[in-house]
Amino acid sequence: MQNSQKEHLYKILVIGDLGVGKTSIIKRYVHQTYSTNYRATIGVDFALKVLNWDSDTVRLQLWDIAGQERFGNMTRVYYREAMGAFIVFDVTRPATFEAVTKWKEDLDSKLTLANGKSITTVLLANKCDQSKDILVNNGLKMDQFCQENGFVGWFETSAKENLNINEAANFLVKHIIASENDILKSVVPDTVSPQLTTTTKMSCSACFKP
Amino acid sequence: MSVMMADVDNGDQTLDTVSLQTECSHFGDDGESSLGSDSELNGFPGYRETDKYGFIGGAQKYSAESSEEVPPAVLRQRELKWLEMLKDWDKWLSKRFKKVRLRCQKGIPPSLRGRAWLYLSGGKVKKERNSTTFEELDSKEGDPMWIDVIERDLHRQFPFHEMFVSRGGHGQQDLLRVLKAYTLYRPDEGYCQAQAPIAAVLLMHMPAEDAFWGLVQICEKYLPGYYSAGLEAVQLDGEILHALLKRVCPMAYRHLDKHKIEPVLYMMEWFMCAFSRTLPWASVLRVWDMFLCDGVKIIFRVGLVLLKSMLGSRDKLKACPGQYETMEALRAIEPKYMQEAYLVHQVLEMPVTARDVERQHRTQLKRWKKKRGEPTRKPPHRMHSARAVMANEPHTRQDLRQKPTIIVQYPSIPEEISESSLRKKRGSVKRNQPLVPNIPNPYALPNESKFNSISEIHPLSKENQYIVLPNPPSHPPPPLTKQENQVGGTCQRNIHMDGRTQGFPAENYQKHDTASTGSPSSYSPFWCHVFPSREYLKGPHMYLKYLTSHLSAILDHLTSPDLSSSVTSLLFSGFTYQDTDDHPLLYRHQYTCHLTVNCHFVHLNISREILRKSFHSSSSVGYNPQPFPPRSLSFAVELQRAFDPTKPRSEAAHKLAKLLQDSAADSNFIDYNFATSLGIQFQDLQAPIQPQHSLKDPLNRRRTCFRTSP
Repeated sequence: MQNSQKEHLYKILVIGDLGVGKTSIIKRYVHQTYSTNYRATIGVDFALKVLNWDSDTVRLQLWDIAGQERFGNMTRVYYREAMGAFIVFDVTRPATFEAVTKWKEDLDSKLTLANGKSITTVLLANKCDQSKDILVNNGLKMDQFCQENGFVGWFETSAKENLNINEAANFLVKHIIASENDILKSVVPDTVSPQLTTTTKMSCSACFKP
Repeated sequence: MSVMMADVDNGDQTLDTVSLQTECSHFGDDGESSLGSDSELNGFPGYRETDKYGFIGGAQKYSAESSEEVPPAVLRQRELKWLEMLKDWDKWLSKRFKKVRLRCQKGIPPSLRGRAWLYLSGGKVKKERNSTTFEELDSKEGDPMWIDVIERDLHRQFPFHEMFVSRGGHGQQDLLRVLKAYTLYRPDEGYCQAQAPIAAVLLMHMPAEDAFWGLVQICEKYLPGYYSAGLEAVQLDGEILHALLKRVCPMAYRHLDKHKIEPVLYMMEWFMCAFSRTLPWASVLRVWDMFLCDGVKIIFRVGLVLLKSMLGSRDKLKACPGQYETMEALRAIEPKYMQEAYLVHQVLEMPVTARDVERQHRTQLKRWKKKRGEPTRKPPHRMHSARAVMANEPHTRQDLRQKPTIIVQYPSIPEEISESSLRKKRGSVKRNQPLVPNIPNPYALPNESKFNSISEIHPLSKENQYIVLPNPPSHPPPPLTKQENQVGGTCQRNIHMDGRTQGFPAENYQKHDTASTGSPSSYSPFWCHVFPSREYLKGPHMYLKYLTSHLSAILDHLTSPDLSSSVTSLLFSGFTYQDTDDHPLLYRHQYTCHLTVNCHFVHLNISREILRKSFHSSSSVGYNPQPFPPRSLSFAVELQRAFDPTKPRSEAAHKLAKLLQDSAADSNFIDYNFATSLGIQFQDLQAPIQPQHSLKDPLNRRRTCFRTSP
């Protein structure tokens, strides 16, 4: 497992309400640019980001999914085989924050990892350049929100000012790799190894034995 | 008021553009000034170069490789043919539909594309039969929920098109009006994000009301159910596409299956936006020409051509070893496969008929029901051709009648008194025109002295008469009121001219007028011809200047509350430009533009192609040399009566007065975007042009206008 040169390929979803800046975040992250002239996403769009992760290469497929509720019917197809997700809201619009739980539920109901867990999800409070805000200024509250709703963490981001986007992505990747190891341990019998740190081992890993 | 001309060339430093720059250098070289805020806001500093379609950038901008050039002579021929067809639209559709289709396949001439689309889609009939609907919807408050979503999308539709580039500009305002009207028209459907590009494409070709009906037709007849909650119809079409691919290109079909690439991963944007966001613009227009004629099968064919082109051979598949690579390939189609001529040819060759689509529709619907149960919505049956759309919609010939687009004649003045009083005012009448009453320019000219020399308007000459009106209109427009006469006497210079004129394309208006059915009073176009003097023939920029300066004067006159022939909408069409003295060759240009004056703002949309041509042709030898009377620059204006002319005029006058009051109209309304798009700068306006109200304010939305001081 721990070969020196490895390639990881992760599909990452970027979801959230309409106009919260999903496309902008992706363009910033992948192309290091920002513009006010992005078109509304219709259906789904993609971008690829390659990272050097220690000695490995990590390829992130970022899936930019249309925010309008109307496209929700297709999300099952879009979500398939994703390993991680950003759920984005716009700090200047409280309604988009309220929608976050809705997106999380949608995600969890349609997609789980091989071990039955939901995929690693990071919450992004975007457009933080625009407001010294109400919603996010209470870090503790946000931490609590994340814990309650199954986010591994949250970041205040700005695609415009390039704030925290790389950090959020690295954070997500770190957690994905961790959870991937988790899965491998739990579902691939040959690699079962003594687990000292894991407390949430699947009780039924024996079922997978041939 | 005068207008500033900036550099309009498109970056190709050919000789003629250089000379053009030199020629207009005395206008200064100020790139920013009045459009500053606008362009900064949108991240486009400096002046903006548009291509012939109005794009200032982005992937869809014109490139010579992506489109075919149609020789002007061919274009002129096509225009004539289309005018002929539009004249007897129902007959052509029912009896000679194949010919119509063929002409759609060849490409609708740009100057008539908007009108043709409106006719093809059946929007024309809908509009005529529901003549007050749009106005009513437009005046209503929209559902805040939809308005909120729509407003978030306004600046995200063709952000590189000059019409939509400015926040709160006329393009975005119209887009809001059209989309809002649709949510009110079909509250059960609401708004789907993919409708915005459709509406935007239509708005590039027609005024808001027409675009609204075009949108209605596309949503209900061509792509029913595509935009409804759940988006089931388009997903089903995805399955149909996939099934058709199996027959058309098994290799691509297997590849997609192998990598579990479901249709919704690549075809949503293609289909929901009718390829308007995918293809280079020349191809978009050609696809839409065919789509509005032949329905959804064209969309399927285009999709199949793209799939086949990108995934149709072993080599190509090698380049797409996985799911992601394949989807990437389908998202970034190689330009050569989207090139206008190639694509159109392939689409025509693609053996997929409406019947195939219907057959697959049934099959896939069954599968759908098995897999996912009964669809929650049952969209109406879709129409597979313009002919079917028309057959489905009851209509009369009256509904199909074209609204006049060309002005050829000022209304003949019925009362002898007016006639004689007008004669007195004529300064210099062309002496060899005794048969036709000389008619003063109904429009006040700008005050500046330099415009005085324009004061030549030409009554119908004999030559024109046969071209235009075989007989004088049998139903003269309403007589001028006393007030009007006064207006005429004081504001306008009498106009006559020393050359010959020819309006273009007048051919279809003649009958239209004489044959105007039954009730003469139901239709009273306001004809006029305005001819500039030679100083306006110095170059294209000069006639733009002339045009814009006249616009304000015309609008000023039209929006005068005294004028009881109230006008809310103007259509410019057939601008003919000719100057044999300044240039050794004969040139003839025309362009079409819409001008909508709804008393709030002016929307002027000129076919950029023609403008561009006129810029470049000034030194391009041999450009469409056609015999044409010298020294005439004519532009034709069509005025459309604002209100139902059958209603009492007092009512219309009252309404207009109210509108004017509402819009705080004082005098001149100038389309800001129009001017900036052409690189014109309004320099010496007494008051800066700015939107009067923010777009955000829903109450004032309709009043937003760009005004200039007289």
